Amino acid sequence: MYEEFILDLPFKGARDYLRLADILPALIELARDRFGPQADVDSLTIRRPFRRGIQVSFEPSVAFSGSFRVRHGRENTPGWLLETERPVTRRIRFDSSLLSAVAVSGPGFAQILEPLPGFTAFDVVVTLMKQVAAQVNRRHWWMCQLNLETPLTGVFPVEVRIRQNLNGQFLLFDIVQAGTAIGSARGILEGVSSQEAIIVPVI
Amino acid sequence: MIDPKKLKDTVSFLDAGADSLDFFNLIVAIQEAYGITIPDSDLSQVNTLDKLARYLNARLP
Repeated sequence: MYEEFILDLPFKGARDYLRLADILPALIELARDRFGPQADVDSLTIRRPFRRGIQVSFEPSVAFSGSFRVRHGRENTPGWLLETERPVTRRIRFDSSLLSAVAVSGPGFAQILEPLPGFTAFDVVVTLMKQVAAQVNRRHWWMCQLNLETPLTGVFPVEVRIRQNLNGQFLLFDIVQAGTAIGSARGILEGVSSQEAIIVPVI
Repeated sequence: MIDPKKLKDTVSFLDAGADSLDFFNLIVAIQEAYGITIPDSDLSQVNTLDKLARYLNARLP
C-alpha cells in the first residue's frame, strides 16, 4: 500500500487552471513533510493544465499529467501528478499585472529587482517567463517545466533570459537569481484552437 | 512519454509516443551533450533515431 496525497489548491485570479507556480510551493511543502526540512523539489513538469484537484503519488502511474523530483540529502525521489475528479472549489485574489508593471525587460530578458508583497518567487519567475515569451509571440505560452540546480529563494533581483528559441514554439529559459544562474525552465506555445491540446505534436 | 518498445530506427519520436515537450527536451539534451546547435531548419532531419544518427555523424568530428 503506497501513499497518495491530494493538493488542495485554489485557482488564482481569473484563471480556471492551476499552473506551475501554484503547484510547486505545495509540492515543496509536501516534500518537506515527508522527507525532512532540507528536502526540495528540483524538477517539475506539467504536461497539461490542471483544472481539477491534483493527486500526488510516489508510485509510477501511466495516467500522470505531471511529474516531479524531490531532492533530499544525496537521494532523489520521483513523484507523479494525476488530475482527480475533485473540483477546485476555492479561488483567491491574484493580479500578476502588478508584477508585470515592475518588471524591467529588454531583448530576451526580463527581471524584477525587488520582492513585491503577496507574490512568491515562483510567481515572479512565471510572470517574467511570460513577459519574455511575449517578445517572441504574443499568444499564450504554457510554462511546463522547471529545473532548479539550487532552490529558488526570496533573494532578488530575479531574472529570466531566453537561452534558446526552437522553431518559435519552444522556449528554453535560464533563471538567474542575484546574478547566479540557478536553473532553467521550458515554455511551449499554446495551440490555437484547444486549451486541452496544448502539448501537441507540431513537428 | 516514449515507449521504448515502439521506438524503431525509422519511426518518428512523436509516433513512438513522445510529445512536443519530450522532443524539445531531446533536442536540448543533444545540443548540450555534443556542444552543437541544431537550427530550426534541421528539425525535420532529426525526428527519428536513424535520421538523428546520420545527422550527428555528419556534424561531429
